[in-house]
Amino acid sequence: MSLLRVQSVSKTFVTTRALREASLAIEEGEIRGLVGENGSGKSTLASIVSGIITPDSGQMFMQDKPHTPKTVLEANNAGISIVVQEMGTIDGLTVAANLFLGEERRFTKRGLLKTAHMNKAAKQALRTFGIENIEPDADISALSFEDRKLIEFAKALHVGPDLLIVDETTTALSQRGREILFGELQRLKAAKKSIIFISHDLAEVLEHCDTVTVMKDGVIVDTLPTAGLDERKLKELMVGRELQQTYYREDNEASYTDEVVLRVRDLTLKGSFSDISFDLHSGEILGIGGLTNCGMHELGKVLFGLHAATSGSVEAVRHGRKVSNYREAIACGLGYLPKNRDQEGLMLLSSIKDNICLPSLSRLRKNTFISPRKERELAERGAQQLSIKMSSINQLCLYLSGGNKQKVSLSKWLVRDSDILILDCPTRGIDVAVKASIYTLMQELKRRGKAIVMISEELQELIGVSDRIMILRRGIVENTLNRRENLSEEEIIHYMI
Amino acid sequence: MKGIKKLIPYIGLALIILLFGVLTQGKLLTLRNLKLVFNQAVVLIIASTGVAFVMAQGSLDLSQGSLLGITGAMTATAAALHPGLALPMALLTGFAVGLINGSLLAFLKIPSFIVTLCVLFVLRGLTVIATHAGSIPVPMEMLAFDSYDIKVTLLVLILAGAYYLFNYTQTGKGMRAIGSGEVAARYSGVPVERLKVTAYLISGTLCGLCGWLNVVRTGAADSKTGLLLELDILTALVLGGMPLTGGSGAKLQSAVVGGLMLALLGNGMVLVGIMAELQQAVKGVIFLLAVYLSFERESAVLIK
Repeated sequence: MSLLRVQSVSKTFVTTRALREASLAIEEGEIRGLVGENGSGKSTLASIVSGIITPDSGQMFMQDKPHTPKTVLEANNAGISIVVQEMGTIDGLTVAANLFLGEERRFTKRGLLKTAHMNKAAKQALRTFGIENIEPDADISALSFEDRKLIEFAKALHVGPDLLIVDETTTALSQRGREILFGELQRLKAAKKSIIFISHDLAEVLEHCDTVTVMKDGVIVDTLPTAGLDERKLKELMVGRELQQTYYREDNEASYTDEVVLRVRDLTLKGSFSDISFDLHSGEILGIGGLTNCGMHELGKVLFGLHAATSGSVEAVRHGRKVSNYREAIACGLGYLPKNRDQEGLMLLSSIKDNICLPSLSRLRKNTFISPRKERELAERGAQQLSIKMSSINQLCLYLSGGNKQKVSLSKWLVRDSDILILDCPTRGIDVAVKASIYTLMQELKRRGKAIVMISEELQELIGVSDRIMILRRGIVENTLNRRENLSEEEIIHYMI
Repeated sequence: MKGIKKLIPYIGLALIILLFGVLTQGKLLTLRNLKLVFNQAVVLIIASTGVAFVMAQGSLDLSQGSLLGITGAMTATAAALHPGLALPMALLTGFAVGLINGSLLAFLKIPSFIVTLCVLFVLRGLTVIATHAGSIPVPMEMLAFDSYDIKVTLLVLILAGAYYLFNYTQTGKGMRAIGSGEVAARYSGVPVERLKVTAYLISGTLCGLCGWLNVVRTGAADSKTGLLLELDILTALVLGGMPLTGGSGAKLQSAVVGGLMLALLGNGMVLVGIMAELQQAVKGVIFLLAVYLSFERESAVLIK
């Protein structure tokens, strides 16, 4: 008897068929990986099983009982809980309130919520989960992205699910977070519970899952045991063709011109980082790595003039100007790809065209007039250059897959012909095919003499792409390593921690 | 479905014309009556045009009713000194109030709903004081400006200018970008604060002009002038299809279609003989209906 059976489930969103006749079965005590490119239907399938959305057709059975959840709570009661890809915690509530959201009745006496009881229970839940550094009465918005993700995970676990779905969570986690997560997954497995683990990190999937289901374009391609499977084979199944291009660049030496385009001196943002100095050269990809809260994400925002630095300077050398706000930064040829794509990178309720054209409007206009034809041409060119999958440039960004959203977000700086790109986690949560195309693009920009600052939490990526890697620890530059053949992850981690 | 949604305002306008055309046995569509409707609609349309810029950013402007009142009082007071001072004074008053609204929103980061509601109260109080709770007459010669030629010319010029600004310039596009996503707009180089103030300057100045139009039409500034105008404007814009969230779905046509709808509705109800008290209730219900039909629930949930 399978724990969960899904039979011919389909779902269509406004214009796209997200899921077609999907069927699968999960056994007790099984860790099932679920992989596929962006937009292949992984999240849709997970959302249907966990009651976030309802399917158009098809049937599901949980322990041979019909499973038709209309809400997450109903799915919870059937023994299924989920950790979603995007932020699933509510700002303004405490850690404990988030943890027990929907279960306040447990701690309510005569209509009054006993906060102390709830906090105590929350503390216990967190401690059994191996989280020591978070207090239950802290406001959740004060926590780091990673800690909030772990809280979500704890929330999903403490309801005691028979089936836990983890949707693309590890990209937000550091090494410590990942260890906690995988430890818990093994414990669940030992207790005969099942897990659906969705991830773009194929190595991770192969290492921790028993079986893996591959999806493509809303269809389940195959389900295989992970034993005897390698990344290359898995990628081929995902993409549906043999992979030819190599993922990272092939040369083993740093190569860039002598021309400095961005000069950063003694840059300090109180509470985040201090005394950071470096020169960025034309044709250089400068990787910046470190733990999530080492200050590198804030550094990106300060470089682009979104936050004012406490002291120090950023100089756009070609323009001979100091950059102190984002308008000047853009005028000096800087472009910024934020980590938080949906809130900061894109206007989701605007068209692809509007998003791509926005930073370039000042270049398109003649006196005050902006020609709709020129806008269209610019957007078409941008969309084509990155082969964005879309019905037309007038499509809203809301319904694009993660990888395509990222392409739109990047495209607006490419069509503006920005000389200096600051990319914060450029491949976060996107699939191998788009990832590869972004790396290729970065190489091409490098060849054309553009300069790139790539802030990244992925060591592989830092090693694979950068000319130099600057490693930050607690807001201070710990070391800067040059590209070389035998640069290892261990060496970088050594400076990070 | 999406295509139909865009047409709802026009279908509504046609329905209103049809309904009251039949109910009044064609009286609604006589030239004399249409002129009357135009007179009622012109202030509403011009003021709504200004507010459309504010709403495109996802903000509100509720100060308009009292702004019309205080502009009337200021205009009448200035006209008593010299009739030529009337129009500059009206525009200046509107501009100044727009500057205050916009600055409080953009720099002190107070939500627009609160800012303009407070300004609404303050200005109404000042209007009552300035008119001594009564009314101030203006010199008779100013009534000469109350001509259809002037009003039609003004309306056409304003609509043409606003349409251009709204659809074909960096200003208009930037404002809609703010409505679509303020953070993403800022990160793409949109001067958010400056545009927020600009939108209120447009809305305030156009309302100032409406204050002047109102004074030259009625011949006096009254302490009650413009009462509830702000709600008529909001209703007109939403009836006309303006999304409450602003953004890329915002259309300037909403001001014209909605303004006409509301004016025809009011006029039709009078012709049919519905009492004034009930007319307010009908407007309220229609406003609710318009929001129900046009609100993008799916996206609103997804944005959050």
